[in-house]
Amino acid sequence: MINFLIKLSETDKRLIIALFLLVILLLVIFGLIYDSVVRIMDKQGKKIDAMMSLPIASGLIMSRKQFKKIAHYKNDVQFYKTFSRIVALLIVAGVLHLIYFLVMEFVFSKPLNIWGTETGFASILYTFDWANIPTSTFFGLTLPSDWPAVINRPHFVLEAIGSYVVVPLYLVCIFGGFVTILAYLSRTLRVFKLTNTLFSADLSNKRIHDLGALSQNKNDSGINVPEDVSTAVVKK
Amino acid sequence: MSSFFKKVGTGFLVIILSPFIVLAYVLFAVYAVLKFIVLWFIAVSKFFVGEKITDPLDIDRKAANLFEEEQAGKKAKQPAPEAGKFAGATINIYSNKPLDEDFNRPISHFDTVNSQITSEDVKQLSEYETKMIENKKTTVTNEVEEDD
Repeated sequence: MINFLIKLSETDKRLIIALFLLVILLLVIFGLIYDSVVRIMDKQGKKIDAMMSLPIASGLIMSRKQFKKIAHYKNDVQFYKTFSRIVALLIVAGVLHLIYFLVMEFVFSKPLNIWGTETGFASILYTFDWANIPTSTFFGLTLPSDWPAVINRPHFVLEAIGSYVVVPLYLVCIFGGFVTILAYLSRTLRVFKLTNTLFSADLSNKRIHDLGALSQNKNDSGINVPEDVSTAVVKK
Repeated sequence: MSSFFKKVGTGFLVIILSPFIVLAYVLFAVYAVLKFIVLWFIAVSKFFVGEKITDPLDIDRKAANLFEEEQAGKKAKQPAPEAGKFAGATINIYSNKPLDEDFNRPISHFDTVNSQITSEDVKQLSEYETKMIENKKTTVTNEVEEDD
């Protein structure tokens, strides 16, 4: 039926299958990333449990408000401790960047671009010509059909030696900051969750006159009967 | 197979909701940075008072004290070991180092620092042992002769 409406060549069919598989692969990758992030966040959030276990076990925290206040304070202090290391590293990287900039500007008289391919970090990376990527038209859509040409192949540049130090430091700061903030977020969410669950009680299945404990003494009729009466005594 | 489809579905939802997730994260990151600045000022003010922001809270100290008291109480409740019963442990020590010639015998529990055995002692001991063995032999032979 579709063949009557749309004429598909063999290449188009292959392209559709390839695109479909690519989309599925992308969805699976995103699903896996989500699962791993959730698992990491769960693990990071458990730190609040460790920090609050002793005050809770000792019975010193009596109310939801008190728990919330102390847990948030401890969470903030933990975040401050970890994030201050990232900030210290960022300051070190910034100072090195400044020194490198001054050396390049006044000693070598060259413009500084720490990310560039000439005197930057990208000189030791492959660089692709994404602007002129080969394309093909598919149902009126222009899609990439091949890998782009390589503009730069990895090579060592002496003037870029500063960027080889500064750029990894910046990358570590970015990654570390991302993880630290994620941990802070997961701990905050954990505090909210614990605040709601720790001091809550579910009475929906409770009855005021609960006779559940007497069920052992019930006979078939379901009426509570004293133990010595319900069992027949046989005299020998 | 169902887990695979679940992954695909999760991935689809993540892609659709990704702008909101990223926005929420960025907003929280801004809040976190502002919070860090506030905490830095608090830490500096505490530093000049002679305190640290990372110092344990009063409630933590109280909880730790309570915990220690509880542990001490538990220890006090434990029954004392019965007198006269050996409550020691045997420790076997092995070493690749060659033993001193003067001290080529197993270490005993009853050795003290002052009673280290010299080569002469060892000689005497070995002589005593050989005498004892010879005596035993003679008594055994005597017994055999008597039986005959």
